[in-house]
Amino acid sequence: MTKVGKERTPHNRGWQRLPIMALLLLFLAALARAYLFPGASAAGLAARVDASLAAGGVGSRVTAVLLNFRAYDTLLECFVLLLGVMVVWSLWRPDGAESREPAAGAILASLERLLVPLMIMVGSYLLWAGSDRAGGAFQAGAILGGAGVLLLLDSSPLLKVFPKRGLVPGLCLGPLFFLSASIAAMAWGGNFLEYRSPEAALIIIALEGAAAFSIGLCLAALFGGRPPEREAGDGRDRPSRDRGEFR
Amino acid sequence: MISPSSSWLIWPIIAPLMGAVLCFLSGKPPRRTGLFFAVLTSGASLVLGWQVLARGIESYAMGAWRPPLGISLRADGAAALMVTMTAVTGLAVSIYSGGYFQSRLTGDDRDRCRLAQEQSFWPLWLLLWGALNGLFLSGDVFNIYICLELVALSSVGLTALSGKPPSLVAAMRYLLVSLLGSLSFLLGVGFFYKTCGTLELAAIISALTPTPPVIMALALVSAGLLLKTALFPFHFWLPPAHANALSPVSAILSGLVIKGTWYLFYRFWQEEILLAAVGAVPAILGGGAIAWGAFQAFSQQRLKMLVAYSTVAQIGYLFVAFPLLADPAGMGGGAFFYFAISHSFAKGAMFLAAGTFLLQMGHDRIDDLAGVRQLMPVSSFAFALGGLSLMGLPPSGGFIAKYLYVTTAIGQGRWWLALIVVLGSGLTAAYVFRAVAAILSPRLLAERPQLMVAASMQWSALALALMAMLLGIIAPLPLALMGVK
Repeated sequence: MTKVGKERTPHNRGWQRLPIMALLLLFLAALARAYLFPGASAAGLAARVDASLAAGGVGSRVTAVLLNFRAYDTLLECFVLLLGVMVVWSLWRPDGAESREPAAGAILASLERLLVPLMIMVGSYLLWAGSDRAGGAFQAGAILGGAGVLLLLDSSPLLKVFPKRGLVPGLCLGPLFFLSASIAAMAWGGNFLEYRSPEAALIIIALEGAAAFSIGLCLAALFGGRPPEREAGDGRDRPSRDRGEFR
Repeated sequence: MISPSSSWLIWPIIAPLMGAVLCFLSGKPPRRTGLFFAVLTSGASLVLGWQVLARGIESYAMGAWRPPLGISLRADGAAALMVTMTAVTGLAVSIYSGGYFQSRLTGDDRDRCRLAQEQSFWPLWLLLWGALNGLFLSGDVFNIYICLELVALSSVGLTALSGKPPSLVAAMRYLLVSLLGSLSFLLGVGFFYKTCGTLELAAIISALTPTPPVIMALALVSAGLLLKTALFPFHFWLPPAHANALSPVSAILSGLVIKGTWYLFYRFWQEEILLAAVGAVPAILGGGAIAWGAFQAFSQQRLKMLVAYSTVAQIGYLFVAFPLLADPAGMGGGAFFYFAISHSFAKGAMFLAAGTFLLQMGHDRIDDLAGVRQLMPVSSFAFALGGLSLMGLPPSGGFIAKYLYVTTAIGQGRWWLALIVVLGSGLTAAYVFRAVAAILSPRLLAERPQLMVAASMQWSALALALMAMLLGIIAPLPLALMGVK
């Protein structure tokens, strides 16, 4: 069933690649023809977005589409990231190999002290800027995630600032808050996910803040790749691992 | 906010998503939370099914933004039927899983690993359930893409959960195939948006014209969906993935997940112009799947591999009837969906029953299963009933579906199609008998080992098999729901 170890090396079967190359070229040509076909482009939705922007609560078109007009897509995207962490953690086995303990380098340590506060500031700015120009939750989350990866690189002592038990709730904060706020909108007589001006701007910023925090944490947790010690085990704690929980 | 009169369209999606997050937050294996949300989700789905039956098509504008600017959900008869099907199979699998994870605990040091598996299972399964419902109900092609991503990722996670090398290899292959399918679908969505200027599914379908960009878009979307549905010859990834997963996961993958992408294919291909032009293509591939899948199923040594190859064959039936849809007055659509539902119940029951054999005996070699009937009469009976429905014996749902296939095909003068269906049933009978003969063999076990399998596992398998049989008796109800257009 499995063919591990019998992999074909690229050079001894070079002739096999020719028909595949030919097929791919044919496919590319068909794509190009379809793309360049004259008179087949519709107007798109930009005009409609502009017309509804005032009711959307924010000045930026992209943010209005992502967090209001098509907020349902964004809600599900938050779940995609959370799902990524769930799947990666599910692959980790308690009896698996010990995590490698990297040597703490002086350069990396001082770089962290320099960069991480700056990255948190830049991330927060991007979040705020998203309301009327390029930016928003995903960009801010990416920067925060980068800061997390930097800290994880050498299991920095700065990680202790973030409480161990807060990791899973932190990952869930964005999706859970997004979902709860959308259901709450129904309690006020609206549809699911409905929020309009003047409160819309405030709600969007709050949603984006929670989402950015969780996105950043998700990305860092994906890099760490290891779930925190779970209570379900046999109670054997491993004190040697209280540094670098995320690994 | 929630009343019997307001639309329940969103709750089959929201309830499992909420449940998934709460399960993930739990420190212990969240069996109770998982089961609670499984019951809640099936309840909401059944209410939605009843609403569509009673009041006609339901639709819902997310955030009160109407398409094309916003995203709308839409439940016609077909969508409501799929959501209801998922509710029934999903509930049976959830109850089974509760017993399954309990029965696997043996008190030794491997329990730590098993508990970790259960802890991951519940959030992944609920998220998958929510994403499937989202897929069935979505009225927006980009939103469908996101649901496809959620379905694919959680399925891959569930496949890899058993942790054995074959399942990890299968899960990796499944991930790559699924990603390729998703990307192809997304590229098609891009072309659709470029030419139609909207992402609303109904608007796109009604504006299909035979220009190169539209043909390209449709080809990309269809290729992606066929790859994900594992229609012959794209089936290569399916049997190892479905057979090596944990047993409840096998039932989920075979009974539900492949139906999601098949349903989308149906959504894009229900236009008559399209069916008249190239409707024979899915039918021919379907015929190939029926023959090849049945042949492979017959030659397997392991029970779960046999059932998995049977899925390859049964997917063929889901596509072989596409030419029948060209006549809107015919029962082609009804036959189609009837087949999908009864396959979901029957195949779910067979995988669940096979799982009880595997857990009890420690293996699933068909030739060594003799005597299992004596230990587990309930799940042996469930497996046999599921097999009867696959073969299409009355009064099962499979019988109604095949009867509708054959009469519609003959009514439209498509004799070759009726012939494929009848011959396919003979092939199905061959491999089902091979498995059932071993399970129901009169040979007795030398000594009677202690029963490890929880009663809830056997009975949930039987309940699902009985549902497959019951489908033949309550046929007017699903057909009426299917008729809501």
